[in-house]
Amino acid sequence: MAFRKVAQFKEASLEYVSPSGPSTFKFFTDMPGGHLVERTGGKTMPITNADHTPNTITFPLVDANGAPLEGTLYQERVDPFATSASGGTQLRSGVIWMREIGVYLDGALGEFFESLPHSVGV
Amino acid sequence: MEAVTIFGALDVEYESTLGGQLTFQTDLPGNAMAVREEFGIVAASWRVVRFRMRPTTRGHLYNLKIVPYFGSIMRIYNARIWARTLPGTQWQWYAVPLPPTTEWAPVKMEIPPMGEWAPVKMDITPITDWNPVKMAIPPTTDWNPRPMAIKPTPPNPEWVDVQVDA
Repeated sequence: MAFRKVAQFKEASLEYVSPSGPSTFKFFTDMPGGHLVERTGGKTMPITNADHTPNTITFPLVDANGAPLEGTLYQERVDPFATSASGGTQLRSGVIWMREIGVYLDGALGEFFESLPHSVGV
Repeated sequence: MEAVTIFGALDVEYESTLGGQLTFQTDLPGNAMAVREEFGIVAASWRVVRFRMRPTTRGHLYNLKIVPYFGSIMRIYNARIWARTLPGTQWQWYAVPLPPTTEWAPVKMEIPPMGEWAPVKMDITPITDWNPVKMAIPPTTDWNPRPMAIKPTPPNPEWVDVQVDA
């Protein structure tokens, strides 16, 4: 059984201000492969109002098959628009929806699960 | 001493890319844990599979071992066992203790929070009270005698030749 807990990631939600142009949200995990790699291809955070009121946006965190992204490590990153003529990107808050998998086994690593001996009677 | 239990079936909720092998051990007969049942787990998306045991599968204790095939990913979400404890006659499901899979839950990103609107004093020098400031007017001096530019009269008259027409 994996020594580290494996988590699945379903979606990310951001509140932001990006009045000069669209910013980009990136999400990295270490699975598969063990390296932190960007898994979404970069999600566009559209330009927001010139009056600097914030937008909210939600991105699915799924792979090419629609399955939730997985990892024992994750990292989020936001790249602002290249210029800031009307103001830079402000991140107000962000939430990621995730859950931990109880038993995650990787056959390529020789992992297995074995329970303790249990009794159902007393 | 634990009661003897007859095991009827095992439900496993899982998903797997290539499948694997499940072995079920009990301590009877022989009072030593030994493999009593073996099942293949097929590759599947999230599903519940039921493995039926032989009528002779019994024991005080049981354990299960799941080994994915090489290269297979396996996620095990739940398992339960259909069993009857002797001398009882009632069959029922018992949960197999597994680390639980949690519900989807929000995790806050580490974004420093926005501050509330708050007054911040500007760096403007405050206005002071009225203060007298001396104007740069040279002061008026005291009266001083100053001699006028009048040629003084000599004490004795001097005779002066006056030219007269001839």
